[in-house]
Amino acid sequence: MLLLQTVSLQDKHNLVSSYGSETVFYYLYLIITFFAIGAISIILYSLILGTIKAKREKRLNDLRQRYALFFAEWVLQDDDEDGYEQKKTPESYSLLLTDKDTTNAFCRNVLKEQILLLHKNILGTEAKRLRNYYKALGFPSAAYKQLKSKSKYAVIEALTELKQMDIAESYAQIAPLITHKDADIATAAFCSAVQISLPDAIHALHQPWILSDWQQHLMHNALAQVPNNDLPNFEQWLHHPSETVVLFAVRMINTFNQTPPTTQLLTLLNQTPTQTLQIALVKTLCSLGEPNVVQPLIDFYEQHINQTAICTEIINQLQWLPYPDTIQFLQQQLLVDNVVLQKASANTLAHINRHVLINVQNHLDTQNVVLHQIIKAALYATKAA
Amino acid sequence: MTFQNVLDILLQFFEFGIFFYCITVMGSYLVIGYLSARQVKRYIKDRNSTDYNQLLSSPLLPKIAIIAPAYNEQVTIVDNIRSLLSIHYSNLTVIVVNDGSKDNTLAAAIENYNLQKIDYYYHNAVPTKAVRGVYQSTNPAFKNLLVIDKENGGKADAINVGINIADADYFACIDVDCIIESDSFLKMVKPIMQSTNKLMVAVGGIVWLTNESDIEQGRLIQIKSPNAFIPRMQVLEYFRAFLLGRTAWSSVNGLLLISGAFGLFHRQTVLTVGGYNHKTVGEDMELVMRMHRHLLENKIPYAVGYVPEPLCWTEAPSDYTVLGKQRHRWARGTVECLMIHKKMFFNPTYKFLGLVSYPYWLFVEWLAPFAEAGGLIFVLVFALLGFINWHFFFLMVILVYVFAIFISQFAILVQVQTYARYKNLTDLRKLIVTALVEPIRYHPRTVYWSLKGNYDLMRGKNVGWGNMTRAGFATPNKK
Repeated sequence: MLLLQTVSLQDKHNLVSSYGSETVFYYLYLIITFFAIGAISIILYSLILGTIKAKREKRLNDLRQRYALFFAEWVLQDDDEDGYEQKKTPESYSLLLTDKDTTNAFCRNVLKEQILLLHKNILGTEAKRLRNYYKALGFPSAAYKQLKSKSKYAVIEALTELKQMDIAESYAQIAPLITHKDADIATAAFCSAVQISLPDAIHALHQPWILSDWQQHLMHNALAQVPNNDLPNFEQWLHHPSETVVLFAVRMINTFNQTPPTTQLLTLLNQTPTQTLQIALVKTLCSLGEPNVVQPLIDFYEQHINQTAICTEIINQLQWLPYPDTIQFLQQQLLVDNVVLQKASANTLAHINRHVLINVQNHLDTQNVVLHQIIKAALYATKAA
Repeated sequence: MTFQNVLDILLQFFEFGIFFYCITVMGSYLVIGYLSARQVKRYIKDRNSTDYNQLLSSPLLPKIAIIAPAYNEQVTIVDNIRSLLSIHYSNLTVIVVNDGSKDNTLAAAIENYNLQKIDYYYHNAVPTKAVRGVYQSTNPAFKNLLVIDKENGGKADAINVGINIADADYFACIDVDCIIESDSFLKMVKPIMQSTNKLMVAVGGIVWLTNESDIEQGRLIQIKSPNAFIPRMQVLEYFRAFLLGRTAWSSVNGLLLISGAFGLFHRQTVLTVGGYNHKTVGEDMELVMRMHRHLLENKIPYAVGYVPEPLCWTEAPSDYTVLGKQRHRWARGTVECLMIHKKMFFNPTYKFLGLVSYPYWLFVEWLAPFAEAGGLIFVLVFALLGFINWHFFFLMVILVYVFAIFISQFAILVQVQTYARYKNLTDLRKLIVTALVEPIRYHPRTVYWSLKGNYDLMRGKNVGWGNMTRAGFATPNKK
């Protein structure tokens, strides 16, 4: 640490003489005492905390192991629908749960954690039994209480828990949170609601949301659990006032292989200035595989020739549209003055039709070393594939 | 004005100036401590409510390329590539750049991963030394591995080659000898995916030390506090730097440095600003500062994120010679970056970075060793002249010592309270005791290395990177 401040000069105009030695020393002693006591307290607290954490972890591991064994036996039992009854029949269990397991907060949390973990991995009647057991232990009411917590993380945790356990009765508690002002809570509520009441949850998408990629990922994940036939037509959100909702809709159209009219997507492509949305639209349009999309995409490409990112994406995605127009266009792009576009064109052309690319290579001026190398690499890559 | 008057003014300057400088530095450490504790607490809550594994199947996951420059890494290269390939991320390419190694680094990689040279067009978007070959594995299990062999040009040049080749939205620059936690990138992309109205141009994470820890097959089994004194000191330093310092700066959007050992960058932005600067040894800090400048000057909304969790583990130097060279290089790097970007100093164009972060780096990170050394000379001279008020002197020494311990213990406490990666109580005790001796036994050396770095830079002398002897991560270290 700094040594300079250790200086004080006798008989000179300095801190001690300016403010009086008693005042300066008094404050110095005070500060030193404060930091010394602070440091000692921190050391003691660290040691106590370290000890507690070590013990707690050991206890946690023991409990996890015990509960895992308990549930392993529990699942194998062919018992009544209300799994709670099993807890009361000691003779059927070698790893019996005690009252402490269901009343002590720490044990309850570990027990709940094990129930959630098991519920993820089982289906059908076993899952139903486990859900009943979860309800019988009073976990849903605790989760509802947690939904009213001031901590957003506690609310999210409760929402996730209810979603994981698929508690249909919880919809009334979850629904108001879909419009919560905190985006994370609203998304978690949406994801939980999707599982319980899809139409109501989907309706929430009509609100003016600004969806980050993270939220879109969570929502996509929730929707992916729903059978494709039950999913809404995402086309209805293509004119949503929030561009991020439009982006989400375009992405979901692509992900769930929906087929909206291409004219609608093309209009949107020409209207939006946002590159992320443009890229998503290009991907979705090309995935539809319709030949009438090629020319409008080429026109769009030519209008945005200075924007390498979007142009590269168009060239890459054209591999899904292997038509004569595409091939002719890609051949032209091999000769543009942009190495990135040349590389992308060669790769796409190699994917669509290697022979065309080999033909281009054969007729290429030997002076054009760069293009020769690009084509060679593209042909190698597709050969390897 | 008599000589006596001049002397008095000088003395007062030192007396008051240095005293208030010291108070400011101490105050800033306290603020940093508070901000980091708050930020880490918030992060842990957020992390605990996130299921990162769900990301693995997400179609929205950004494409990432890991760029690992390797120079004379034949001992560790095979295990380190294995460690990189085992990272949990579905949209990932691993690019290892052999920077003209003089040993068998390339041969070891070729042999163990069935690599073969491929036809590849290398586009020099950022100018680099010549690429001798691009290798890909014939084994489909390693299809996302690319090994580049190039002429030696230094770390920055090697990373630039990787940036040119990477076909990804983001690239992660890591040291090949690092161990990356398997879910690191899932955690690193969360801030990127959460950003709605700003371009997330870089994300950093905590780097901690593995010396004497148990490692198997490139995977960390158990973290241990080193028995050796030098690495143990550095464990504490890393606690303070990464857990307190960078976490706090990131919480106020003032981060000027993302460690060269582990960081995630937006590839297009890095290409726009011209890639890594190979003329400075502080290339990691310089790149971040250049990106900040470019984005602020062009009024592009952006953010730099930080994940305050240990995601990357590395081996620290275990002897004074190598450590001295490392610190010498860090000191040089700091000065070079501050000089290159001196325009930022108290310049409102650069907002918080120009008005707070840059001045902090200048007055605290760079100036502190000079202030300490100057103070020592000052004390010695005036002690000889009999001017020293010894009572006050010793009180100040005690204050500085107690404060140093306070900050180190606070960093240890934050570690215990949050990640508690050093699970063994003996490890914790060792670290606590280390913090008591560090200000006396270790810190003076870091001051010396820092001054030497500055002095050598002025003389134009370059001491190089220094050869670090690594134990390798292949087998468990001796207990």
